[in-house]
Amino acid sequence: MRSAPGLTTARSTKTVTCPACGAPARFTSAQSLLSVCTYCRATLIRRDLAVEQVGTMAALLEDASPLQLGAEGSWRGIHFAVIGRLQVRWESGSWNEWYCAFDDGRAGWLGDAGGEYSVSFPTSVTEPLPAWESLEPGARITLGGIDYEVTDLRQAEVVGGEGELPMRVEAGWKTTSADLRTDTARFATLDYGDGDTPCLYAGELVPLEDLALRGLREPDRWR
Amino acid sequence: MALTPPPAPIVATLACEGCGAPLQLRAPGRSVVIACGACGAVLDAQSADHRVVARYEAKRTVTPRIPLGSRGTLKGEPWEVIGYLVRKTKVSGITYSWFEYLLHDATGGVRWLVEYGGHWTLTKATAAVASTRGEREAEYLGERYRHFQTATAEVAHVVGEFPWQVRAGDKAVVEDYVNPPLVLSRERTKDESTWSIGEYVDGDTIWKAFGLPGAPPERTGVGAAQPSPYRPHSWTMVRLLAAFVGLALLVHLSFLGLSQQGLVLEADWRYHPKAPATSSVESAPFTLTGRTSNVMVEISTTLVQSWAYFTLTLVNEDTGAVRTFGREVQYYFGRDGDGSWTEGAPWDRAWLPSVPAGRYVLVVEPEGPGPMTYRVRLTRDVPRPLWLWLAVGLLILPPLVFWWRQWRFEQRRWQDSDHSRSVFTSDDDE
Repeated sequence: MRSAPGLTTARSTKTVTCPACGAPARFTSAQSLLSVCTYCRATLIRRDLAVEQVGTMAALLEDASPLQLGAEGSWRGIHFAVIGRLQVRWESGSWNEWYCAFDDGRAGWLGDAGGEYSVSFPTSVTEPLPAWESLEPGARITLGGIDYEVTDLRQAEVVGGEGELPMRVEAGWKTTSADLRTDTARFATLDYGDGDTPCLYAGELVPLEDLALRGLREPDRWR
Repeated sequence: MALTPPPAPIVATLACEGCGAPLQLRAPGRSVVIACGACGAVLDAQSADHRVVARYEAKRTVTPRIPLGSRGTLKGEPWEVIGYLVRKTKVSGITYSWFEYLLHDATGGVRWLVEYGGHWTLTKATAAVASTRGEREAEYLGERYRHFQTATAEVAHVVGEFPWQVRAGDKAVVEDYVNPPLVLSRERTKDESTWSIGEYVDGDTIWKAFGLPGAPPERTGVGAAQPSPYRPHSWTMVRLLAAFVGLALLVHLSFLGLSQQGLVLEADWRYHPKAPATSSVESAPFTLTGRTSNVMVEISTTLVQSWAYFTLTLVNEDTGAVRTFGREVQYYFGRDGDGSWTEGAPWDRAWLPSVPAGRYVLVVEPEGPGPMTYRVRLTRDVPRPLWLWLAVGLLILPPLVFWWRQWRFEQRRWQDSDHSRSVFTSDDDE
């Protein structure tokens, strides 16, 4: 689902006009394939020099994530901007994958699930990726020479997206993924999409305060 | 305490779709379900109609000891209680229950306060997974934890809101590993394996933090993660013991160094029961010098399978003062069904305390059934090692009591675990 091949591409902000409402829409990252119009929620896809509306994005669930589009932060000294969001819902709740453009040209995901945050990038490894059926919580697998524990298997459904995303997204799309962790808080997701060949995203779990985020939503609660 | 009261929590109030009871949603946006403590209905907290998504049988209204909505600062961070779970497990036919309070903060952070038998832990999910070593040990961030218990936990009651779909009857296999005051837990369901780490908290601390009336529930036994009141002093005890024994040894050695240990008399005599002249002999005069101190009396004989009794009299020639004492020497040996045996020895040693300086003679009056030759040696001022042994024996008593109590405390901790017997051998290993 979150397939985003190609690791590094230069940043080249491109402003287009939404064919549906005429508002400006942006493609900040060269890896962005899709942009959701902020005003009319039209789903725009980049085609050569033009953009095409392929649909309208469903409204997202109101959640209490402190992140929002336009927030900026720094991970391992590399500045990044939050340019897109994918909201996913599963049996027991919802979580967000924030699509981030990093200043070194990479685009990655800032996962935001139940108060835990992760940064991960599409990664390829020499080992064959395991089949979904072979996974079991608590099992150990080695990917890219790193020994992971399978911590979470879930089947989920796309609620919707906003901003820029590296792939086509539609509400209701089904997805299947496995989360992996190591004893040093490294983190990986095997995303099986709705097919058999998974994509691997590898990174780490990070405390929110380590990301030096700016432009967060005002907490609407006590404290 | 803050001078200004914190802003009032933003809560959404709704009526339970099941029974109409008023419910308060304290973490709108984050909570996925909200459960009614009065009727057992679990409502969808995210949809506008708050439809009932699950229902369990609530025989009575479940009332958490810490009311939902309570707010307090624990370990320097402010928390609000929003959810409450009663979980249970069955071990050899007996059902054990414990209570879990879900806490959240303004930034979406989540903690659990877990109570079992009056023992509390403040728990959070770990970012890293722990690694298990066999079935008996887990390692997390370089610390080792000993396996305490593995049990299947079932949700018995749900009240309040949760950021995931929780239902009464949900089951998970819970493994606990302890390294007081920490407890490392793993919960496994069919799709998840999550690790969490908890730290022991005093009930009183929680009651104070949340400003609760009354007293926390009475503690029963020793909690799995309860820090031992003895453990921090264990090393102090060893050090103190070593210091005092060292001191006693030093005192003994300095007495050894300061003492004269001078041989003042060495005489050989012969005894024959039929020769009356040998039944009382007198030594040549000798002089004891220095401070008033002891005299070591050694008698060695040629006795074999026999005995002798010596009456010894130390006469001060200057003052006429007399000290009389008796010593028995017997030496037997043989061989029987159990092998060879010996009883006694052909020699004897005794200390005569507090003998002033002066000129003395020793009168020896032996008695016995047979003839013998014997030698008497008097040595002035010999420190007795007995005092050292007595001192060590007394000094070791308090640590022994201490270690026994510490051992008992660990026994009580582990008696509720899966390993209530194995503790005997590896109670205090690091």
